[in-house]
Amino acid sequence: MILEFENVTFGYGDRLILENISFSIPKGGITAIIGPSGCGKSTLFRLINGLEKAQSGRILYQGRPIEGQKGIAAFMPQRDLLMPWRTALKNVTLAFELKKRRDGKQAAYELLERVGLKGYENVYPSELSGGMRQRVSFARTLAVGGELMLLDEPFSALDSLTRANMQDWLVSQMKQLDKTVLLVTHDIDEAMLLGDRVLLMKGSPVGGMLSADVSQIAVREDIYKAAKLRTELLDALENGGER
Amino acid sequence: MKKFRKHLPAYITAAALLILWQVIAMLINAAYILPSPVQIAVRIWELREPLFTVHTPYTMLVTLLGLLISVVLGIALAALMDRFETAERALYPVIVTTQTIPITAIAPLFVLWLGYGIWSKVLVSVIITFFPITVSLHDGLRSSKRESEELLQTMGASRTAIFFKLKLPGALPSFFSAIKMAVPLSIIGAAMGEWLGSQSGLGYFSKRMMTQLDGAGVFAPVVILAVCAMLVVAVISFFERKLLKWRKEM
Ligand SMILES: Nc1ncnc2c1ncn2[C@@H]1O[C@H](COP(=O)(O)OP(=O)(O)OP(=O)(O)O)[C@@H](O)[C@H]1O
Ligand SMILES: [Mg+2]
Repeated sequence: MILEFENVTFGYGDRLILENISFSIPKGGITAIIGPSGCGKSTLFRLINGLEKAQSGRILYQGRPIEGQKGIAAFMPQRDLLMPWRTALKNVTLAFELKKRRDGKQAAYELLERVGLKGYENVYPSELSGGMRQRVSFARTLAVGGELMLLDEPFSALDSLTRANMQDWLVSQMKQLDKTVLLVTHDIDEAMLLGDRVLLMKGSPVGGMLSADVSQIAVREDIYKAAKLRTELLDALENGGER
Repeated sequence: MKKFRKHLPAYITAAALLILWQVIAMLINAAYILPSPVQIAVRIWELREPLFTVHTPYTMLVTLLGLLISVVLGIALAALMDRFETAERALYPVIVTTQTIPITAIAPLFVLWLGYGIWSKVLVSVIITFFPITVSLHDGLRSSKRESEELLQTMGASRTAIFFKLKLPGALPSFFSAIKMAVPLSIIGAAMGEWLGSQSGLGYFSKRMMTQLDGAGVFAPVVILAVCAMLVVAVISFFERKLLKWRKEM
């Protein structure tokens, strides 16, 4: 297990978001986390990132508490948050600059090529399409490094066609990368297509995770073959997580 | 050429106003009350020696010193207020209050404190310009999104790194507009300081011509002040375009 939540409770002020939840993420593959809007999906990432502290319980990374462990996860935010004054290349090198890595520029070139943006190195974000910006953001996340990647609804801001393309693109990227990915989404189809397993956040405040294996779904058509599971998950999502 | 076409209406208006001024001045026919543009131009030429070798350099020195000090002070204060909330609460209201001080009324005091030398004028210029610079920079630093800051934090950035990589570049556009606004103010401040007590500078020169009832001589340094302001703003705009290339593409 690369990441474990043990009886974690967290709230903003008096407002409880996560109540005594426990779950674990195995090494490798994609875990899709779904839940209704505002249930605390981003909050889960904030806890892993160390931007918030659990009020009780523990979060373990490779068996040790995350406190004191630096840079355990590379985070890709909901919106690309590219710096408009930096070119695509410079937005990627940012991560290397912060680590004071000298060969950052070369590495950033390679990352941009990997995400299919060769030739766009010196273009400013304002001149890129939404899908391209998201890919620059993905390259920046890869530049941060680390085994764990946290993707927070990476495609939710895109139109449906671009979004479908980006989903297929991500699947092909993940095959080449040796990473453990947590992918937050509120789209069941996206979760089933991209994920090897789905974790559904139950209740409000979230009191637990419902887990489903969707590793047999590899292409879009498979979703319809797994229509029963899909309906079940959809019902669960609507009924606050009770299957 | 396209630019010229775009600004053509403005040139026409300006020319029309100048002609109107010339006509009215010729009708009044009293140069000590209202000199005509032609008379002013002639006077600038006649007085070119003292104007351009002594007084213009002096005023520009005051202006640039004033601006430089304001920028350094503004960056320091804005950074301090951005970093420490206590500093913001302690300083911001005071900085805003300095704007209600009628500088013209207390400027003679500066001459009393700092003498007839250059520093009393620089002080007037600083007091007038450091406010817009500090406030715009402060707003600019705060304009960076909390999300972006947190993203950098997750990437392991220190507060210093966040300041230099995110906040400062984000504040650059407002910094430039503030400087462009501050240049004319700084020149006014310098001239005002000279007017109140000095031995050189365009403000002083204008005042001296006043005592001699030389209308065109009063206007000559004023025209030069305006031209200087435009030139300095043009230089700053040049650097702005260079540094903020990314904005053009928006
Ligand atoms: N900094 C904060 N202070 C107080 N409340 C917050 C804060 N951040 C989020 N919340 C609240 O906590 C709840 C969970 O927020 P979170 O962003 O984790 O939801 P989410 O599941 O990611 O939602 P979405 O699908 O809209 O992204 C929301 O109701 C939100 O209003
Ligand atoms: Mg969210």
